[in-house]
Amino acid sequence: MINIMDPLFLMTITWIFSAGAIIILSLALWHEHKQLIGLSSQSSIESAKKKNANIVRRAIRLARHILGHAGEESAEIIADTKQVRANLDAKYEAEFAGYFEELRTLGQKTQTENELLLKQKADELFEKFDRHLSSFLVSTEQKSITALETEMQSVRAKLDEYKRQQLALIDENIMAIIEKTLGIVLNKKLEISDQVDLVCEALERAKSEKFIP
Amino acid sequence: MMQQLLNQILQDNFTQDAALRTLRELKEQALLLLFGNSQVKQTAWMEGITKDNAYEIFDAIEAEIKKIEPLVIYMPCDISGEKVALIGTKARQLFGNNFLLEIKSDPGLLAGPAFAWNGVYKDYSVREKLAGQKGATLWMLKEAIRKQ
Repeated sequence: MINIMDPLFLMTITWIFSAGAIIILSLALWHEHKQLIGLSSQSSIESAKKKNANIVRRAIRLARHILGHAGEESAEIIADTKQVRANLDAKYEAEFAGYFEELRTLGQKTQTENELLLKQKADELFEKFDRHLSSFLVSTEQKSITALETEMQSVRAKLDEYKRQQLALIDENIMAIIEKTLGIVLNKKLEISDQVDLVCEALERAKSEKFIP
Repeated sequence: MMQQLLNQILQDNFTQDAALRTLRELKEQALLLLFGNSQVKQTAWMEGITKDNAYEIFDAIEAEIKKIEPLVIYMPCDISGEKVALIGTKARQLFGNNFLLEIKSDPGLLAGPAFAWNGVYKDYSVREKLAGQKGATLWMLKEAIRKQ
C-alpha cells in the first residue's frame, strides 16, 4: 500500500519529474541543433558549435536550476510532510487518548453496571432459593406431620381393635364360665319335674307366639 | 279298622319312635297269630286283619305315622317315658290329638327346652336367656367385682 504522505515517495516523484523535464529539454535542444545543422553549411560549423555549447551550457544551467529548485521543493515537501505527520500524530494521539479515556470510562461504567447487575441477580437468586427452600421445608414438615398423624391414627385404630377383640374374648370367657357354673348349679338344684314344667311353659309360649300353630 | 288301630297307637305313644316301635310289636304279634304260633290269643285290635291284608294294613299305618311331622324337643337332661307322657299330653292339649314328639338331648341348654318345628329352631332355654342378656350379666358381674 503506497502512502502518498511518505517523504521518500514524494522525493522519488520529484526526481522523476525533474528527470523528465531534463530529457524533454535535451530533446528540444537536439532538435534545434539538427535544424541548425540542416540550415547552415560547413562554414558555419564553428559558430554552430559555439551556439551549441552555449545552448548546452544554458540547458545545463537550467537543469541545475531545476534540480536545485526541485531539491528545495522536495525539502519543503518533506518538511511540510513531517509537519503534517507531526500534526497528525499529535491529533491522532489526542484522539486516541480521548478514545482510550472514553473506553476506560465506558469500561468502568460497564463494569459497575455489571457488578450491580450481578449483585442484583445474586440477590434475586438467593431470595428465590430462600423462598423455595422455605416452601420446601414447610411442605416437607406438613407432609411429615400428615404422615405421622395418619400412622398414629392407624396405630390407635389397631390398638382399639386389639383392645376390643381382647375384651370381647374376655367377655366370652366370662360367659363360658358363667354358663358352666350355672349348668353345674342347675343340674344339682333343678329336678326333672322342674325341667318338665319348663318344657310345658315353653310349649305355651310357642303356642302364643304362633311358632307352632 | 286301620284308622282305629292308628288312633290307638298314637293315643298310647307320644313320640314317633315309640309309635313305630309299638307298631312293630303289634305287627309281630299279628304275623305270629296269622302265620305261625296258634297259641297266641287274638285280641280285639286284630279284628279285620287277615293273612291277605296284614302287610298292607301295617305298611299303611307305618306310612301314616311317618307322615306326621314331630315336634323336636331338645332337653338339657334325659327324661323318662313318664315325663315324656306328661309333656306329650300337654302338647296334645295345645296342638291336637295326633301330635308327636321327638326328644333329643343337649346339655348346653342348662335348663328349659329348645324346639325345632318344620326345620325352624327356637331356643327357650336358660342359655338363650343368658345370651340375650349378656351385656347386663357382664355389667352386673363387673359391678360386683368392683364393689368387692
